[in-house]
Amino acid sequence: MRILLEALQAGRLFELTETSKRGAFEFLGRVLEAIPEIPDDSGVVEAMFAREATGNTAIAPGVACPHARVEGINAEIFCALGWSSAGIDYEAEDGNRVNLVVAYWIPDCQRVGFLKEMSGLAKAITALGGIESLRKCETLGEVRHGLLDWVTVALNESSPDARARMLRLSAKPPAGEEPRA
Amino acid sequence: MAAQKQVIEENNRTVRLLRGTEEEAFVAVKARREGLTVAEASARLEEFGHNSVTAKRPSSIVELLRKFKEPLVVQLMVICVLSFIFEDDETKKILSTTLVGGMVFFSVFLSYFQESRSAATIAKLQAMVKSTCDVLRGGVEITVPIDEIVPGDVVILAAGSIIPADCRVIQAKDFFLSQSALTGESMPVERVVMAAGSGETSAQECPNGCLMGSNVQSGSAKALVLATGRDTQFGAMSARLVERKDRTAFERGTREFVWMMIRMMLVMVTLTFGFSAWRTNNVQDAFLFALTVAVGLTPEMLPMILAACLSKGARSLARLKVVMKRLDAIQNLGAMDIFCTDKTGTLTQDHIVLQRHVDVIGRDSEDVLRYAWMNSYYQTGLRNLLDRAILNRTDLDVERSCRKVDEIPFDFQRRRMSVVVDHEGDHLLICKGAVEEILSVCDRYQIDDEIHTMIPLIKDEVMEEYRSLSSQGFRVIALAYREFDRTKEVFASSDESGLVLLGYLAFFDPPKETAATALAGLRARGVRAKILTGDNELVSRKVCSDVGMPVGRVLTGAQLAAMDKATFDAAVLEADIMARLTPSQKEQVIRSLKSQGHTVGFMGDGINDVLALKAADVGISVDTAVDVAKESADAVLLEKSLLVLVAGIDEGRRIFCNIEKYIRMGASSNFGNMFSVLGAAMLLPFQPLSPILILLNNFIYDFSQTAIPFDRVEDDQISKPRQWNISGIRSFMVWLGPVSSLFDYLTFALMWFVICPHACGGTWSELAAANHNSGTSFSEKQTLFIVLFHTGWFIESNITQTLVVHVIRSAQVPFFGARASWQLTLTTCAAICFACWLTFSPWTKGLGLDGAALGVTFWGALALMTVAYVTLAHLIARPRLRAA
Repeated sequence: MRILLEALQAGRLFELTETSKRGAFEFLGRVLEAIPEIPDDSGVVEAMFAREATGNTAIAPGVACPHARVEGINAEIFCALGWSSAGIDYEAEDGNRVNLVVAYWIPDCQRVGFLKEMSGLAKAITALGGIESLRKCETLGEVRHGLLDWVTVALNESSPDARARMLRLSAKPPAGEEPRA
Repeated sequence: MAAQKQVIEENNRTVRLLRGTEEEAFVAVKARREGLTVAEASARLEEFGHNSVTAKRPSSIVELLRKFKEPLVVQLMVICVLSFIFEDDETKKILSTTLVGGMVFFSVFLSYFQESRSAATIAKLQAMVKSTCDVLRGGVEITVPIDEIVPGDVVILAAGSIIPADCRVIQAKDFFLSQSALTGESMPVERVVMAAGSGETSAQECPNGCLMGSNVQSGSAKALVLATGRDTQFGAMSARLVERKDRTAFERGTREFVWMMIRMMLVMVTLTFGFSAWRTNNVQDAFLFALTVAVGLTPEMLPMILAACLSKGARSLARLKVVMKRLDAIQNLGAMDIFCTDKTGTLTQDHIVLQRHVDVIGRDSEDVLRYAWMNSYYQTGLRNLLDRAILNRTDLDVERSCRKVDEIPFDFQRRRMSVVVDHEGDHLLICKGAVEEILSVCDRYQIDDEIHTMIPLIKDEVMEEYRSLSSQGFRVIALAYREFDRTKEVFASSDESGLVLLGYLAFFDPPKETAATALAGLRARGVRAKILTGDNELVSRKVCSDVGMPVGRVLTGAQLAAMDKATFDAAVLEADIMARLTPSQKEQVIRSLKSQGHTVGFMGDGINDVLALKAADVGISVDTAVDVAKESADAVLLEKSLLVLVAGIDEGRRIFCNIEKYIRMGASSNFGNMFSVLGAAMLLPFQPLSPILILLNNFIYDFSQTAIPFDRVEDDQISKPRQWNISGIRSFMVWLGPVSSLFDYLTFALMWFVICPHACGGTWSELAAANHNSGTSFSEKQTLFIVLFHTGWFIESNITQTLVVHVIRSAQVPFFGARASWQLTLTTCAAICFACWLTFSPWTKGLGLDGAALGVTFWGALALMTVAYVTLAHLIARPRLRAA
C-alpha cells in the first residue's frame, strides 16, 4: 500500500469527469505519463487496454486496478487514482459500477511489489467494509481521507497473511559418504 | 452348457473368497501379505500354469480343415464331386478330379501355410511387447510378465494397469476400475478394502473384487490374486466371450466381392447349361460343361492371395519395427487419410527434462523443486515422464525427517494429485497438476517466504507466467501446498482446497529431428496429421511450428464441448490442433472424423488414449506405452517414430495394391469369360472348350497368379490413401471384361472361318453336309475341326488371361514403363510356355489338343491379337488405374 500512499501524498487523486472506461483510462494514462520518471511515449493507455483484454481488473465491488506493465525499464512503480461519484461502467463481472480506479505503471522488475500491493489493497477493502464508506464522501478531500484510512489499516494489518515455513531438505550425500550432523 | 457351468463355479468360488474375511482369503490361497517367495511362485507356476486365457491354438489339422469351410473352396469341392459322379470317361474323370483337387490344394494349403507363417511371426513379435505387472515377491516389489502371475501373489496396481487376474483388494486409495470389457458398463467403479465382504452374489459386484479383464482408471491398490488364467471369471467366460468384432471395411469389401462373383457364376452356369443343352442335345455333357465353367469363373485363389499378401505385409512391417496385432488392420494402415496423434514422443523426442522450477513470478525457486520432488517421490500411482524428470533432477534426503501420511491419486477429472507428508509436527499436503486445476483450488500464493491472499486479478497475473512459459514450448504444471494439523490422517480430494500456490515446473521435450521429414512424408502421401492433446494450445502450437507443421485452426476441449453436432463435425475436420482434450473428447473427435467418411488412425501411449485407440480404424501404440494402451491397439511400433509409421503406410498400400490386382483381374476376366462362354454356347454346335481343358486352363492361370504377393508396386500407386472401392472394381469389370470377350470372339471367328476350314478341308457346314450325304454322324474331319478350335481358344484364352496382370498392375505402359517383379514375370511366362507346350506334347494328345496342326497363320494372328489386346486393355485400364 506504500505505492498508493505515495500517490496520495503526491496529489495524484483526481475527480473523473468521464464515466466511460476508455475515458478513465485515457485520463489516468495521461496523468501517469506526466510523471517525470515514466518515459515519454511509453504507451500506458494501450498497455492498460491490452492487459484488460486478458481479464477484467476490477478487484472488488466499486474498485478497479488497471495497469500497464513495461519491460526493460528499471524504475519504481507509480500509480494515479481517479474517483467517480457516479461510477463508471467498467464491465466488471459483478456488474457493479466502479467508483475508484487506481491505475498502475509497473516496470517488470517490480512485479512482486505490485502483487503485494494488490493483496494488501484487497485485504484493506475487505477490512473496512468495501467501497461503501467512500461512496458517502461528498468531496475529493473526504475520499482522500478515506483512502488514507485504507492505507493505515493495510499497513497496520499483518501483511503478509503469514510467513511460510518451508521444509529444508538437503540433497542426499553421495553413496558411501556419511551425512553431516 | 459346460462352459456356463464353469462360469458359475468360478463365480461361486471367487465370491466366497471375496465375501469372507481377508485372513480366510489369504489362508485359502496359501499366501502372505508380503507376497510369495520366488521359489513358491515358481512352484505355483508349474502347478497352475501360465496366467493366460487365450484359447489353445487348435491343432494344425483342425486349422487346415477350417479352410475347407471357405465358400469358394466348398464350391470347388461340390463341383469336384459332381464331375466325378457324372463323368463317364474314366481318364477324364481322374484328370478333372485331379485338377480341381489341385486347385483346392493350392487354395487351401498355400493360404494355410502363409497364415501359419504369419501367425508364428506375429506371435514372436507380440512376445516383444509383453505386458508386465508389479508384484511383491518375498516382500520386494518386482516386475514380472503378466502371464507369470500365480494365485497367492500380491500385485501392485496403479492407474493404467491391467488387472492381471481375479483379485481381492487388500489396500486401496481412490481406486477406480473400468470393467467395460466384462460388463459393458463404461462408467468406472470404485473398489475398496473390506475386512469381511458384503452380500453380493456376483464377483463383478463385490466392492473388494477386481477381476481380470478390467483396467485401473485412477488410484492405486494392492490386491491378493485369487485365481489366474482359465480359472478366472474372464477365463471361464472367454469361450462365450469370443465376440465377433465389427467387420472392417476391407473384410466387408472382400466378402462383397466374393458374393458378387458367386452370384455372377450362378447366373452364368444356369444360362450356359441351358444353351449348351439346347445346342448339343446332350444334357449330361452340358451339365459337366456348366460345372467346369463355374470353376473357371471362381476366384478360388483369393483366400490364398489375401493370406499371402497380408502375411508378407506383416513380415515386412515387422522388419520396419511395426508389430501388427490384427492382420486386416494392414489395409487400414494404407487406407488411412487422417492421422491423429498426441505430440509427445511423435513430434517431440519424448525425452522430457525439467528445465525450470520457478515461483509465481518466474524466479528460480529451490522450494518448488524440493516440494515437487517430494510429491513425485512419495506418489505410488503411475509414475509418468514428468515425475521421472523431477526425480532425475535431484535426490533429497527425506527418509530421516519425513514420513508419508497419505496420497490423493491423479485422475483425469481433477487433473492433479497430492501426497501428504509428516514433517516436524505438521502434515503437509503437496499438490501438483494442470495449472488451471491447481489455481482453482488456491486462495493464497507465496512470494519468497510471504503468503498473500489470492484475488482474481492476481490469478490473471500469475497465469501470465504460465502463458509465457507455454509459448516458449515448455510443458508447465503448477505446484501448491497446504499445512494441516497432525491429527488429520486420512485425506480426500476435498482437502485439495485453500492451497498456497508455490510456483511452476517447466518441462521441455525437444522436437524430433525426424518429425518435419515424417510430417512432410505424410502430407506427400495424402495423409493429414492432426494433433489431439491434453496439453495446452500454446505449447502445441509452438511444437508444431518448430517441426514445420502448418497450423491453421486451433481448438480447445472447452470450445468443442460448447458446439452442436454439425459445428463439431465441421470444426474437427478443419482444425489442425485440438488441445486440452479429455480422453472422451479424443474419442469423439475420432468418431466424428470416421462418420465423415475418413479412415482415421490414432497413435497414443497413455491410459487417456485408450478410448481413442479403440475408436480409430487403426489404433497405433508403442512398445513403451501403458499396458492397456498396447492391448487396445491394432499395431504396436517398437520404435516411437513417425518415420516408421510412414514406412508402414507405404507397406500397407503396397499390400492392398497387390490384393487389388488379383481382384481386378478376377473380376474383369471372369466377366469377359461370361460373355465369351455364353456366346459360344449359343452360337456353336459344340462346346467351345472341353471341361477338362477349362479346368486345365484355369489351373495354369491360377499358378501364374501365385506370385502376385511378391510383385512390386509403383511409387505413384502408393502416393495417396488406398481405400476399398467396389465401384472401381465394377468399372474394371464392365470395361475390361468385354475387351477380353472381343478378342475371344475374334479368336472364335479366326478358328471358325479360317484356321479350322483350312486344316479340315471345309467349313463346319460343308463337313456336316458331307457326313449327311455319306450317312455318317460324325467324321474325323469334324473331330479335327473341334480339336483345332479348342486348341486355338485354349492358347488365346490362356495368354490373354495370364498377361492381363501386367496391364492392370500399373497405369504405366506394360513391360516398358513399369515391369513386374521377376517372380511374377517368371510365373506368367512359365504358365504361357507350359500351356503352349501342352498343345504340342505327344503326352497330352488325349486331352484333345493339337498345336502342331494350327499352322503359321494362327500363330501370326495370335501374336497380333495379343499385342492388340494388351494395347487396348492398357488404354482402357490406364484412366481407371490413375483414378483408383
